[in-house]
Amino acid sequence: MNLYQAYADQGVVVWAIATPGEGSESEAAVRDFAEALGITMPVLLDDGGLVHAQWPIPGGADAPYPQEWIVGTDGDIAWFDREFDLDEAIAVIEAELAESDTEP
Amino acid sequence: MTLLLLVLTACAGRSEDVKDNDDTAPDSADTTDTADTPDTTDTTDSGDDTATWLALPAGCVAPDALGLDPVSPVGRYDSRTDGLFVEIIDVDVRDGVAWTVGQGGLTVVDVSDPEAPTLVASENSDRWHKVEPLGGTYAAATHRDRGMTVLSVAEGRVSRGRTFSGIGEEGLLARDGRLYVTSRTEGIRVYDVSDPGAVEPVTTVPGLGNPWEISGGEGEHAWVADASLGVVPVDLSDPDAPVIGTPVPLPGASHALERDGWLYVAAGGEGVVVFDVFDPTRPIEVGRVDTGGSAIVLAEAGGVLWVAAHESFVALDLGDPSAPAPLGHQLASEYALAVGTDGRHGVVGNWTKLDVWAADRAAASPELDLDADRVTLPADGGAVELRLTNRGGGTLELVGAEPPDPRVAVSASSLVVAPGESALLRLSFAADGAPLSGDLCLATNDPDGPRLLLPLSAGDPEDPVGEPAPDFTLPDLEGGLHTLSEQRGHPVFITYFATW
Repeated sequence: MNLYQAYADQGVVVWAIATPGEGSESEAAVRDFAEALGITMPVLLDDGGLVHAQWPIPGGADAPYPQEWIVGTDGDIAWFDREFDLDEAIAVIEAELAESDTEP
Repeated sequence: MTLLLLVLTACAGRSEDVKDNDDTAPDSADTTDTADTPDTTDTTDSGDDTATWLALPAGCVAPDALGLDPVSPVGRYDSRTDGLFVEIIDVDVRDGVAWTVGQGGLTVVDVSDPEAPTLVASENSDRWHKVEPLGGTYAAATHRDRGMTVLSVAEGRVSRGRTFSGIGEEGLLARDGRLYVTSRTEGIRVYDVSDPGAVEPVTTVPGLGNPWEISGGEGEHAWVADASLGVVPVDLSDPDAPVIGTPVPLPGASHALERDGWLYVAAGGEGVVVFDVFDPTRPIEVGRVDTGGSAIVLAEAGGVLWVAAHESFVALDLGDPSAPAPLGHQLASEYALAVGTDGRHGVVGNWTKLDVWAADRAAASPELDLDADRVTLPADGGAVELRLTNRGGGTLELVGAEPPDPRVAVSASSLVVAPGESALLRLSFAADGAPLSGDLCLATNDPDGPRLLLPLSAGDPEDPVGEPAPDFTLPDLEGGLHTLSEQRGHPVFITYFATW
């Protein structure tokens, strides 16, 4: 199931973030990768991983990729995983959407 | 999800030596580098084995004589007190009235008495990205997916006038009876707003990449901050026929403000970039000023340049306009995503609050800015380094420290930090297997907070759920910018991936 296609119209934001190193050479690699996979969601560039280092990643910033997060409607982290569990991710997204429906 | 399956396969053998930012790390002695923020969970040495670490005196006692806080609060309006919830991402003040927009709509606030800002009117059915007052009771507002709408206020109510449809409209500048709207798809759209009750389109001039905002000083040129192109001069000598000039590349440019031949550009992690634009067709960069955070928007009043930098804002003294000097710094209680001015004060958009601040150019006091608000020490022992920067005009002194626990030692690369300079604070932890949790108390001569409490814990964060996500603005492959805090109210699924 494609998370982006399934949930975009319910207001769920889906981003893929890459952490290229210095220089446009790495950015080109990200671009090629995204095109090869036919990625439709926004691919953000976290140059040098400066933003990445600010996340409270279990295992530290050097933990292996990928790292998935769901940020809840209130701005707090609602979920984190390294072994991507689609069912769990969907459950958290559905819960966040249900909660935001009841907000004023 | 195809992407993730491929990535999981490709990255299965990833080892820990690949994600190495050391090549991009500055020398620890380079105190003016804004691009590198020390990783708070970094267990490796900063790389400089010859650094001298000075122990801080024990004890956390504020010095007796403190200077005056250069930046002080004057007044606040919180829209939540009126049952509204506008999350401010743009503020513009004209004739004592602040127009604020964001997710949740438009809120108009009377700031003619800056100590007591009061609500004039509000409309909460929509979201807007930018607003520009047109004079009198009128303003124009843009939405990236809808276009530009004219709004007016009468008897406590907001009415909508015409909407001029468009995709990618955002930046707004009203000047000499004309409104210039920048668009990611169309370039610059010009409207006749000499009678704001009867706005008419004049022309559209193609060009531009990903324009974020357009602003104009006194001269013939306006300036577009463009995420793809950088800083773009626009010749308005014929107001009905803008001529888009040659851009100066500057990644992350989000707002350009001109004063007396000097151009100040908010450029995210680069802070404020200063250009000599006495010849607007040939801008010459003269310097960069580190503001901390991510510089987004600027406003100038009385020789003070206010910079909204995401979760904090700074005040810079323009006594030497070519070299803005540190004056003051303030952590916003929530966010500082927008700033305007009433001609005397900085008017900051602090999420649902509008905060009016004063800056005292005569107060040369230090302002401590630490690059972390909590620290996780390595569970097995080791050290963490934080950067502290003095964003005030007076010298900062580290007077003492009191760790929560005898296993933590505190030292610094310098106990004295000059205005605008940085030093490193080193926290070392002698682990013994027992958990650590408590506050480090740091005493300095910063009048705005002479005793700073910094929560410490040891061990890797086991469960990040419930922690606030770090706010950020990052570009995508097309040069568009995405800000996490602007997604409040929507769940955001983020996958960090690698290409190998």
